[in-house]
Parts: sequence; structure tokens; C-alpha cells
Amino acid sequence: MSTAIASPHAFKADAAFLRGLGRAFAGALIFALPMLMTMEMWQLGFYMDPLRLALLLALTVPTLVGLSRFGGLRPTARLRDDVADALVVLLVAALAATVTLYIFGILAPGMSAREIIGKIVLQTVPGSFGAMLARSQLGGEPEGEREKDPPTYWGELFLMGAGALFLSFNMAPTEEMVLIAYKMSAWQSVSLALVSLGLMHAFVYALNFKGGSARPDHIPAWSLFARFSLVGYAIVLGVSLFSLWVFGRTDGDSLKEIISASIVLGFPGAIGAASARLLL
Amino acid sequence: MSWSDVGEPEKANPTQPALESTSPLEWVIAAIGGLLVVAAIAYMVVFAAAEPKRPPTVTLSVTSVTTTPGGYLVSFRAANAGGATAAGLQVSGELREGGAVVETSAVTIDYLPQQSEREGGLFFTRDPEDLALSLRAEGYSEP
Repeated sequence: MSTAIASPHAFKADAAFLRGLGRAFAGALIFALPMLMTMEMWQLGFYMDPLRLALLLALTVPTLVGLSRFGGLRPTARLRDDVADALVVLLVAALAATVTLYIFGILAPGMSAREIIGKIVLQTVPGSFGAMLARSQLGGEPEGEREKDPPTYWGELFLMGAGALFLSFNMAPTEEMVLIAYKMSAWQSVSLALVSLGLMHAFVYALNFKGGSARPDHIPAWSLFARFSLVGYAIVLGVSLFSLWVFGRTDGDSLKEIISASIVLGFPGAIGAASARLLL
Repeated sequence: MSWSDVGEPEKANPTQPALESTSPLEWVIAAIGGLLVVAAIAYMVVFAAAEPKRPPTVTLSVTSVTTTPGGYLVSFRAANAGGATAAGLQVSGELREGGAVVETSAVTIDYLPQQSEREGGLFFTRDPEDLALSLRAEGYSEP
């Protein structure tokens, strides 16, 4: 820590930090409210496999650190500051989830520790995403020099994955994902995959709206399609499959239904991945 | 990974907003957050390791019998001492008079999580106090 405790700027820095906490709390609520008010999310909190829940929370930490690199609460100097931010937003999100669930009566006496902890942990994951993105979503101080450096190729892919997770997390717990997959024929699944891929490509690289990547003239279109849209969609499908598996939505299903459900969830995921540079 | 090294060390330029480093207060809050994350992960892992998939074990107990305009209400508490959640738990109650069933009533509890309790009620037209009341969990599905 380079900030001296006795420095005259310490109070100002703490005030800014507390403002950041308030913003993070608001961000956690904005993003997590749809899930805080979804019955499946409460129920998954107690019946989902505890090991998968632990894995989900463990993977959330490095994802938040990565998001903090590109957005986050403040322009951070070093990796350890990003880690600090990630842990702070997790605490804020857990607090937001606990307070909201308690007020809703979803946490009540007579419930086991496993049930209460499971419900809070599950809601903390989307809440921490929202809290981390609060700065870019709700405005705040302008970034320092960091945003002038565009993310590298791997950074772009990471952002796409995070964007896919951001949107698909809303829908993965619901019964409808699997139900839609049951209702679709194989041809409809293939069509949906092609539509998702096409939309993804169109969103960022053809429309090229604010925040989207400008297409450099010297790179051929097929190369961009292969390196970003195609790879991006593969990441989206991977994220979808992971989300479905975490929530136990793939258990006991046939391979065809699992692929089909991944494509269904990949539809919002593709939109999320394509708009990641706008959202995150 | 290359995207993690974009940050530059703090500059001593007063006109340029410097990249912020972490204040002691934030480190304290980060440490609490980190502890909670580790504790939650540890709890889930320990829970998973300690609980071999034991089936739901449901015990039902009558908490009160009250008179309602239409008859009588038997309130009960369902407790699951097992290691798995029971979904769609069917609870039925019977009133017997001298061995013969004179009235039955049933209810479905959406979810009864492991190690947790839920409350419910069964309506009867006859007074359960005068008859032999028995509650029974009939069945459930895995969530």
C-alpha cells in the first residue's frame, strides 16, 4: 500500500471508497433482483449439489478479478488491487442478497444452515457481477489511462465469456430452458445456433456501434468471423453448458437434449457476449 | 495472461488522476469478503463430504388443532432430518374411529429441504380431538 495512513488524502480516498461501496450495492441489487425474485433460484440454493455451488463461487473470484481489470469500481493499479476489489464486491453482494432475501421472507427461522448459506451464496454470484459492473453501468469517475489500451485478443475472449455468463445466468436456473429445448426439433436447434452466430457477428463487427470494435480495413472479414465470432460462439456454448450443469439441468438428459438446451441458453449468451464490450 | 499487465505503477503527477491503490479500510473489507468466500466454499465442500446421499427422512408433528368456521384445522410441522431435499412431499392425515377411517385430508409441500422444517395445515370437518388422528408422509420426488 503506497497510501500513507496519516496522509491528508486518506479521508478523501475513504469517502470515495464508501461512495464506491454504495454504487456496488446498487449494482448488486439491479443485476441480482430478477434472480432474487425467482423461485428456482431460492430452491436451487438448497437442493443443488454443494460441490457445484462451491465450484461456482470459487470460479467467480477470478472472473471478478478479470472484470475489475476492464471495468470495476475504480481504475486499479495492480493485480492485487483487483483482487481486493473482487473480494469487496463479493461481500457487498452477499450483504445485498442476505438483506433482500430476509425481507422477502425467503430466509426464516426453522431453515438449516445449509439452506440459508446455499441461498445466499447462489445469489451472491450474480450480485457480485452487478456490483463489479456498477461503475460502468451507473457512471462514475472517468477511467484513467487504462481504457486507452484496448484489451488484447485473449482479453476480448474473456470479456465475451463474461458477457455470456452475465446474460445466461439470468435464465439458466429456470425450467424454461430445458422446456424450450424439448419443444424444438433438431432443425429448429440448428437454425437457432445459426441465428445466434449471425446475430453475434452482426452485433459487434458489422454494426460497429458505440463501444464495439471498429473493423480494421486490413483484416479480411472471414478472419474476424473465424477468430472472434466463431471462437466467441464456442465460448458461449461452453458457458451455457457449464451454467446448465452447475444448476443440475443436464443431469439424466440425453446428449441431444443437452446440446439443444445449450443452444437455447446460448441465444441470450451470444447476445451477452456480443454486447460485452458495451455492457462491461 | 497478457490482459492482466496493463496496469502501470502510480505516477507522482498531480494533474493526472493517479491510478488508485487500495486503502487500509478497503483491505479490511476485502479481508472480510475473502474470509466469507473461503468459509462458504469450505462449508459446502465439508457438507458434501460429510453427507453421503442420505434420503429425506420426514417426521410430522401436530403443532395445534384449532376450530375454523368450516370445521377444524390441524396445523403440523414437517421436519426433514435426512440429507436430501424432498420435492412435492405428500402429507396426509386420517381420522379413525374404532379402527375405521372416517375422514382423510391431504396436502402437498412443494419443497422440504434437508435438515429443515416447513409448516402446513389439514382441514377436517370432524373434531380431531374426539378421534384418533394420524399424519403420514406418503411420497416425494427428487427435485
